[in-house]
Amino acid sequence: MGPRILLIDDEKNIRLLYKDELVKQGYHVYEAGSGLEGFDIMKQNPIELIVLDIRMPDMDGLEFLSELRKTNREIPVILCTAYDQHKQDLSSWAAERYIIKSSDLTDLVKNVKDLLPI
Amino acid sequence: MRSDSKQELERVQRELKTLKEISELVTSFIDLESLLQHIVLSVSKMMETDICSIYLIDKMNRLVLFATIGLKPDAVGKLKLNLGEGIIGYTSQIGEPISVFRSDTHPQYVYCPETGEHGEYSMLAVPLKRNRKSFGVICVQTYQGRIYTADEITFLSTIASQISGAIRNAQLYNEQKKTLKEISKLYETAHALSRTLELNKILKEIVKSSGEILEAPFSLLQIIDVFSDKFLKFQHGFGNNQLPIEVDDLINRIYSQISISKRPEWVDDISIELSDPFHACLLIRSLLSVPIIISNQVVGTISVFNKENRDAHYSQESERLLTILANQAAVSIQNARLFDTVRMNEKQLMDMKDQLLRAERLVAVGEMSARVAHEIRNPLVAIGGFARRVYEQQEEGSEGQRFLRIVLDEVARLEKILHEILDFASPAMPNLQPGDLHQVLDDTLMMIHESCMKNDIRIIKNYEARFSLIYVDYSQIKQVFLNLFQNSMEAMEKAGGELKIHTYQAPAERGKGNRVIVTIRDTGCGIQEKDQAHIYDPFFSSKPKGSGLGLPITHKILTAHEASIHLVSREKLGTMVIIEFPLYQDQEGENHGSENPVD
Ligand SMILES: Nc1ncnc2c1ncn2[C@@H]1O[C@H](COP(=O)(O)OP(=O)(O)O)[C@@H](O)[C@H]1O
Ligand SMILES: [Mg+2]
Repeated sequence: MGPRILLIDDEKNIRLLYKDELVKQGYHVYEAGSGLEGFDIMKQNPIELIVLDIRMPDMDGLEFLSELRKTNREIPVILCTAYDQHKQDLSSWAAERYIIKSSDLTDLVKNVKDLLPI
Repeated sequence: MRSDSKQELERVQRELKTLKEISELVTSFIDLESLLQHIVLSVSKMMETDICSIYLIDKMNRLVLFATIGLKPDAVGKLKLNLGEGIIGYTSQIGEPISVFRSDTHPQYVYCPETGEHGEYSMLAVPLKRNRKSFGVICVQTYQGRIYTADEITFLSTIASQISGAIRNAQLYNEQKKTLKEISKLYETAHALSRTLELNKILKEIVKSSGEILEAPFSLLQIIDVFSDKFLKFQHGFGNNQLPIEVDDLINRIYSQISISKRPEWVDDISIELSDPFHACLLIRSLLSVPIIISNQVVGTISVFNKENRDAHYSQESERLLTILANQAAVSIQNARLFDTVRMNEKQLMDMKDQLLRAERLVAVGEMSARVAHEIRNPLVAIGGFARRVYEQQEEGSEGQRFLRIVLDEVARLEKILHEILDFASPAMPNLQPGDLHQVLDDTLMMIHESCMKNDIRIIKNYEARFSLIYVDYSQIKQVFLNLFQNSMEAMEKAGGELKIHTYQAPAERGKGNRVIVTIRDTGCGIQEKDQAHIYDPFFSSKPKGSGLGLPITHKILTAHEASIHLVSREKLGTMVIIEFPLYQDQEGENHGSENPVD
């Protein structure tokens, strides 16, 4: 089994797309449709990297991130967003990387490989 | 004896009649020319002479034929004798009557072809005098030799003293008429002033009036332009001709003199040959220049170039009149400046209102579009992402791959638009750091260099600004220039052209710090009149595939930089974008512009 990645995004199709790509790259991918679901998965699996969408209903990405950092400071997080305004949000600094969502996954793959080499 | 007495009586009667006539003339005619014409007529009739003429001394001290009966009428005003020249000149010089039986035998005789006379005429010439000083000559001539009696000489002398008074009156009248003319000219000028507040027009009017009132062939007004520190010149009588260098030198010399003395200054005895607009050469003899003074500062001069030498009366009058005009110029310059400030404030107010409206609209549009953009983003990423997967699985060059390529390109375009919308809706606050404007420009130009080459677009740089250090968010300003360059390139897509980038220091303006201006100019299609008001509207685009967000984003970024942007465009000719940045300054207010060597 490859390195473990947790994908948190409320859009199923996005998860599908990312997962397909990351699996192809040799990772093992867990999916969560919300922040809460994500915490559940983390309790049961040793996650090594989180790819996190910012805009989600209920608990958004930034809320998830600040909750996570209360207990876990080590696990690297890649924040995905539609635009870079959130860079100014202090809580986003708690993430290792910050990428703009795009149909071109090159950027995503590059950042994942950087933080979690196979 | 009896017949002698009778003759005598008749003569006296005739003389009295003529004298009465003349004194009547003197009181009834105030117009000099017609008065003198009547006098010569009466005298020649009375004295039974073939010719009677009056000569008057002009400002140049020459005797000018003023009125005549018997000489060629068109010699009037043309025949000019120097003092002492000819019998007439001689008479005026010695101040005594001269009677000559045959003029051509007289040692002072000069032949004047203009008159059409032959020379063997008799002549009695009597000086016209005022305060013992001769100011002209009246003379009678006959075709045949004639001896003039003592009585005749006395008679002509009496007439001469009579007409002296008349001529003096008429001259006074003429001067009054001239003053009247001047006053009405001044009035016209004043009227022009209130009619229009446009300074240039007024100054042109004033310089024209100066020439006309002082009867100078050329006049010149120059004022210091506060912005450029250069002279603005207004001239009259030179046509559109460039001032001759020697005149320019002269004016500059006298200007520096006046800026210290703050008084009218004369230059005498200049003899500069000037070509007037009709290409005849005119000799300038003197120059009078008076200061235009605003708040005790010389800001300019009015100068008149005279054909004549200066004389005491003339100079005093001229100085007085020209000073009035200079004061008028000063007042209008002040008014115009005041008006300009008012107009500027008004314009600033309008601009501010505009910007406020724009900003409000932008906020509304921004919020809306950000929501929509977010909703679209995820599906779009999915569409594009999966299309790419499938694309990669297609056979190289297959139809499926070609179609998927189209899908991918379209998605890329949509994503770019989305990015622009979101950028526009909530652009990051600029992170302002000191940076060199020329560097940002160069860096951005690098990015477009290749596609310019391909599209036959020549980039022409002219970095004149010596201080170009500004506050910048480097990536945002790069974005700005890229947007603008792209617009220009798109405007020149069809035929190529020139992209000119010019930087220079902004002229000093009250209440504003030091600034640097960059203009970006293209020779593209320009913006249609009807579109010009909408170019900053989000989503306004005249291009089939345009997002219409380039300029709104540009505007927003520049505003955050406290920079201003203006677009000037002419359809089919091209577009110029003018951006003004405040220069980077430290606490002391010192410029820290990266100073470029001027080459
Ligand atoms: N340099 C230029 N030459 C001609 N037209 C221009 C230029 N710059 C801007 N425009 C006009 O302004 C419109 C808005 O420009 P912009 O906001 O950059 O949007 P876009 O370029 O996507 O159309 C353009 O569609 C065009 O009509
Ligand atoms: Mg554009």
